[in-house]
Amino acid sequence: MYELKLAWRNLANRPVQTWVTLTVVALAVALAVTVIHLNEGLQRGIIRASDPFGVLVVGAQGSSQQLVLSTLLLQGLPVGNIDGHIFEELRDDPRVALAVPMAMGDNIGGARIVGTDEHFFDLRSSQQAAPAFQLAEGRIFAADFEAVLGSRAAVGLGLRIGDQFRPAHGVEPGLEGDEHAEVHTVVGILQPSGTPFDNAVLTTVNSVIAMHAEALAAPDASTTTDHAAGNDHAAADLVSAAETVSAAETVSAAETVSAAETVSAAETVSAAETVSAAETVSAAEAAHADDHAGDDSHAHASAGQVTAVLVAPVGFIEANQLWRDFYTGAEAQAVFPGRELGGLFDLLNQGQEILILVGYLAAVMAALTLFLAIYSATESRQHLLAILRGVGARRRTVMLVVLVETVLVAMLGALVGRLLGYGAAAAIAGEISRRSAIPVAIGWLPQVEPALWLLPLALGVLAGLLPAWQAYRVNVVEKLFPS
Amino acid sequence: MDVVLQQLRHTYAAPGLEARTVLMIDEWQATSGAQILLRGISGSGKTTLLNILAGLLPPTTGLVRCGGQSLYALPEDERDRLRATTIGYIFQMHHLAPTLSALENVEMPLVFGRKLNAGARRARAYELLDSVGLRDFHRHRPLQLSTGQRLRVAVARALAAQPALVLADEPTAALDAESSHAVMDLLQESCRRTGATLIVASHDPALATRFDRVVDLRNGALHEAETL
Repeated sequence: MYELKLAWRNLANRPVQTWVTLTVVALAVALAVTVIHLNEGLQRGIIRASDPFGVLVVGAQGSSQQLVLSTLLLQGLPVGNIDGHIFEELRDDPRVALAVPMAMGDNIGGARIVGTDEHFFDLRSSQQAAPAFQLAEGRIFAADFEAVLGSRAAVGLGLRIGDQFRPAHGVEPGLEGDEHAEVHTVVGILQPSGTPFDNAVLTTVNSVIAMHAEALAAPDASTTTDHAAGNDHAAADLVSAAETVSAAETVSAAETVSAAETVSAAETVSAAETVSAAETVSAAEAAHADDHAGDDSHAHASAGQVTAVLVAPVGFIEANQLWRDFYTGAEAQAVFPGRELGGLFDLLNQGQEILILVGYLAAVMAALTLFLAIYSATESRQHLLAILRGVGARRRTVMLVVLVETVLVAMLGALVGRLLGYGAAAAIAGEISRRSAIPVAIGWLPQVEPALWLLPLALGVLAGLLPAWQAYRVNVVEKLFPS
Repeated sequence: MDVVLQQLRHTYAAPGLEARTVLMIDEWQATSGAQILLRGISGSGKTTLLNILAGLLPPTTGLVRCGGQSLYALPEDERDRLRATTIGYIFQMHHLAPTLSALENVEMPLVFGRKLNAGARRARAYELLDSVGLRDFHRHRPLQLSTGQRLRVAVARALAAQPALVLADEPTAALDAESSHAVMDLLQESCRRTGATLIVASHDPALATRFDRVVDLRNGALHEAETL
């Protein structure tokens, strides 16, 4: 197509003007591509990340959305804790197929510590699906202060089976030395699950409770900030469990700490020792001392408090019944993660709509820039157009050359913008994934592709109409023979 | 291609300026294959007449017949097509497309005339550049060529479609005598070979000896001149 060649030559002949115009178009397209793909990727990531966690989440009353975010996506602080008997009742309820306790703890190198039980490893996205959390190596925890690492946590922390670590205070990486006394031993490492739990450390509920009992019993500057203030994380609310416990319990907890510290100092900790240390965690736990030797972590969790319970009801009707039970009760709330995430997506979509509006404005600006560039170029190129006419080009040919020019810039801008947009979306998604462990995947969105190509095409044609009309009307004799 | 002019008048009118009639030709004719030198002082209307003959400038009144066809009875698209296929025009200022190479400039009328495929167009353009001694300059842009070289590219472009009527406006104005002769030789030889009618507008007295017919344009009218 000769018009394309002529248009290309014209563009190449004024590279600065062409690049500036193309960049403006590309930035407008990149903005739209980034916003749309990031929003979509984030929503898909959240859905995927929350997929294995059952139908209902039961937790303390308060923000239902925060309950879901903190429990399933490990984002932000938990709403609070609930009494262990709620978990026990759910576990024994015939309407419940699976109940998994969750106790949110501190962190190790930024990886969140979560107390749970062996049923966590039975979680799956559907009855037919394989368990979402499967071991890559080792075994699941059999006693307190044994830990199973998520795949990313294992890589990030550089820990292997048999390695030992001491958790830090708080939910974010803290200062060196700001550590709990309890020594945890790595007994298993999970396969990647595509959930935030890839960057988590799983242990028993009692291990989490013990750490906070320690924090209450021996507060220092950091723990005062982390725990006594009670605004760092809801795991601190576990302390509130301890607050209801007698002073003797606190002392008992302190004893546990010193026992653990002693072990730590001697660096001769064994799983068995850890278990025996944990056996003295609290007065309540003392009543279940025999359970520690075995594998009944339900007992540990139910002895104190838990942050939340993941519930997989046996059926749809039972799910609604359970939800209604909690809705009419005052002790806790039950929420459907899907509904809460739907609310979150509504918020995300509102944000996207605003950004899309900004994108439209950017597109209009790009179209005006394109129009100005081609209009002024056509003005200064009337001589060339007259030459083309002089050697036999028809009016519609020169008009087409100008239109092809604007469309070429618009479509090249769309292409560059596409690459920039995908690049930016992938970079931001990577950063979100790194920070939150929510797998935000930027994928191909065929449903938006036509619009992302057609819009620049339409803008190109629109911006080129007047300059093309100018070219159509060029007076050959006047331009070639000005005198 | 024979050319006939009848009752041709052309008047330039502009707001605030007095209208000026530059052409008043009652009857004039050029037979097919003729080679005619059109003389006249600057501003006499030579370029206007060539523009009219090229189908670029409709006369104010009168009839222009080329090859038996009334040129200005044809739709504009058809006149455009004629310029690409049948009428070759060498502009005084050459008017080469600055964004295209010498080769692409020569190819241009062949593209617009749609007579040949891409390969044949390219071969023809090379052949013509070769004939004007510029094959080695085929990739050069007009700004990278000398005035004489640009003229030769313009000549090659005008001859590209093997037109039946070749119009040349002061083709030797910027050339030395030797180059001038070379260009005129090329033009006249090519036209003789193809049987094309050649009309050259020039005020170069040295050219008169090369033409069997010389016409003077004075006061808007054409006057046959004595030839040597």
